[in-house]
Amino acid sequence: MTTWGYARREATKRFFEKPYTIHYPFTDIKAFEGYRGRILLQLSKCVGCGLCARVCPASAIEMVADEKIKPAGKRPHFKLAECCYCALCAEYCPKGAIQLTTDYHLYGFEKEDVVEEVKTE
Amino acid sequence: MKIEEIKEVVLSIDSNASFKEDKDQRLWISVSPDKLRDVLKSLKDKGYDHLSAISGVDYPQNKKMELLYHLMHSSPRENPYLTIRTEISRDNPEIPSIFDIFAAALIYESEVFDLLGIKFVGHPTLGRLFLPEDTPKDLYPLRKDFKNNVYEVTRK
Amino acid sequence: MTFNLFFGPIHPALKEPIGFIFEIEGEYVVNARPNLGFNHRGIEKLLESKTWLQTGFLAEHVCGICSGAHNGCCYQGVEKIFEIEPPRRGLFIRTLVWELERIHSHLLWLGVMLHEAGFDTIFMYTWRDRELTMDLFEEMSGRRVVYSMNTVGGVRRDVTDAFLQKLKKYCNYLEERVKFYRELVMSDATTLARFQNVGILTKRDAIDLSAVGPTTRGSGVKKDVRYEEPYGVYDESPFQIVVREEGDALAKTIVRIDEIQVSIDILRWIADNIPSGEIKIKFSPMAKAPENEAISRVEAPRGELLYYFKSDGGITPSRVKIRTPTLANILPIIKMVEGQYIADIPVIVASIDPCIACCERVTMIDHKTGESKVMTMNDLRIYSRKWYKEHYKEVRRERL
Repeated sequence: MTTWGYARREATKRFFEKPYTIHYPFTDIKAFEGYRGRILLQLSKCVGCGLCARVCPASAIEMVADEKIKPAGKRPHFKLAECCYCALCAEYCPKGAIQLTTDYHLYGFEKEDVVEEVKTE
Repeated sequence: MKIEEIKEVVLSIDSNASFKEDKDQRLWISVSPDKLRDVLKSLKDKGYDHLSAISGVDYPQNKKMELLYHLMHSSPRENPYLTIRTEISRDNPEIPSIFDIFAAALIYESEVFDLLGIKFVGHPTLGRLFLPEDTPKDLYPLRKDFKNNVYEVTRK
Repeated sequence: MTFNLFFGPIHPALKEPIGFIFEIEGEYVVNARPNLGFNHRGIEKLLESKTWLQTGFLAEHVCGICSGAHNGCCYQGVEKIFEIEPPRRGLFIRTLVWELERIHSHLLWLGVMLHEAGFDTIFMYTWRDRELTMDLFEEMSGRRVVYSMNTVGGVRRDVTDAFLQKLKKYCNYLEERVKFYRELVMSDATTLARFQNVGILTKRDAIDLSAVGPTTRGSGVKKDVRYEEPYGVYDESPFQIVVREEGDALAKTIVRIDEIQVSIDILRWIADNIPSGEIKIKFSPMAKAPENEAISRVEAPRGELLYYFKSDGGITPSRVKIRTPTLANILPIIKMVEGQYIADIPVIVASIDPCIACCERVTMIDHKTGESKVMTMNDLRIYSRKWYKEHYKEVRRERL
């Protein structure tokens, strides 16, 4: 087929189809289940062992003092601007206190504004 | 070529060569640096015409640096892979260049000079390839005694 | 009397920065020199401070398009140092990730290559087909681009049967599209005028310069790591090597389109024959390696990727050497560009599929008067399309 033949065929076929673009900020796109997004920490299960901080490849976890955790007295703080979302911390936590959610809207004006979500019950 | 034939070819040029075989049918050969060019030339005449890479390793405790040349045959299903290694001294590291035998060595030798500081005698355009041109002359980042505050932080 | 044309770094349309200095006489290029290092991040030095389990997560950030190949090659090398073998189901899933990544990389390249020739419709079509691949990756591994599916001793996540059915439906859809692209590229006037007999790499040069990947397979040399030293499950799969004889940019395009078809066949075979069982072996994150050294080679979408590991008994490697395929293909660019027009430079540089990509500011220095003019890559592309419109008839007569 010549170039004109292809052009005519494509133009007639696609003329009545809907466009493929999703207008993103005006329609929301849901990520698939199992997407590795914002980190969620459940304080009721954390024991402050520090395994997550030792296994992180990007050194993005820091143990900060928190008196609600007994007996260790500290809990992890995640610097999500340096995290590479590999989910090794969720895999190696012995109590299953860390989960990665499907929230991918991770932005802020400063690096320190992008932090994890903490559930306290 | 079988492994025995390759050992004969290398031993006829350098009688002090040593060999090691591993489970994937790969042969590791050690030769001395002044016999290196003749060994590579005779292996190229036997059909090993693909140079995959040149690696440089730094051993500060033995005061040596090591170079590895990874070669492949033109019909690789019947011939084993080779890695040829030499050792040179760390204080004034120099070795003759092989760019007239394998043309691909032009880029790989520039990279090894840039990061480790080994001089390849006879290379036409030896200079900084990856680092900027105004890097100080004795700064070679991949040596083990190169310390920078960034690289010391990560391992506890 | 030659001019020096500085084809500088930082380019908005291609993936990464690279520089070249071309010496030109009139409209022909006489010589070229590479100017590299704008994307050097010191990864080989950084890998000496990560434990054996953490190396793969840094290695996959070397390249965004072929990150699955780097991840798999790194962990394959670590498994050779520890002398352990992953189970069968793990190897099948690893091969699935490698082949799906080859499809997405070649679709991306097809769009970029035809965009250099001015054919933007196919650029939009192929990138839309690629979006479906990214959706499959997101469902399987959790991220669209840097998937980190591998670990020491196997893979981290399992695939479900529902996912394998979706994969087979995608393979059927893609096969129709690939047939359409192949017919179009072989018969359209634009692609034949811009790609045929442009940037020829002879078989002798391809062997002498140790070129790798589809760059040599388009010149008649049979080099493919899956053919020479089968790893994963390639020796049982319906893999076939694709080779063409002509050596110009059109031959390299057809090699990559045919490789998409071979990958589709392998994916269908994997979806039908995957065994059940474990996906990984138990491995401690602070394990100490024996004193050993190992080489691991994998066929990335651009060519042969080589990792050399050396361990001296610690919990971190003592030396890691990475040789990416585009570094081996830089010297063939210099050979291919000799004697060609300036307007062919974007097509020739894009035909090796540079994973360290190219230029933004081109400075033309007039030797006689000493004045200089700066053109951005967009200007160079508009100039090359306008030049081809004016000289189309004589170029077509001399090439076809």
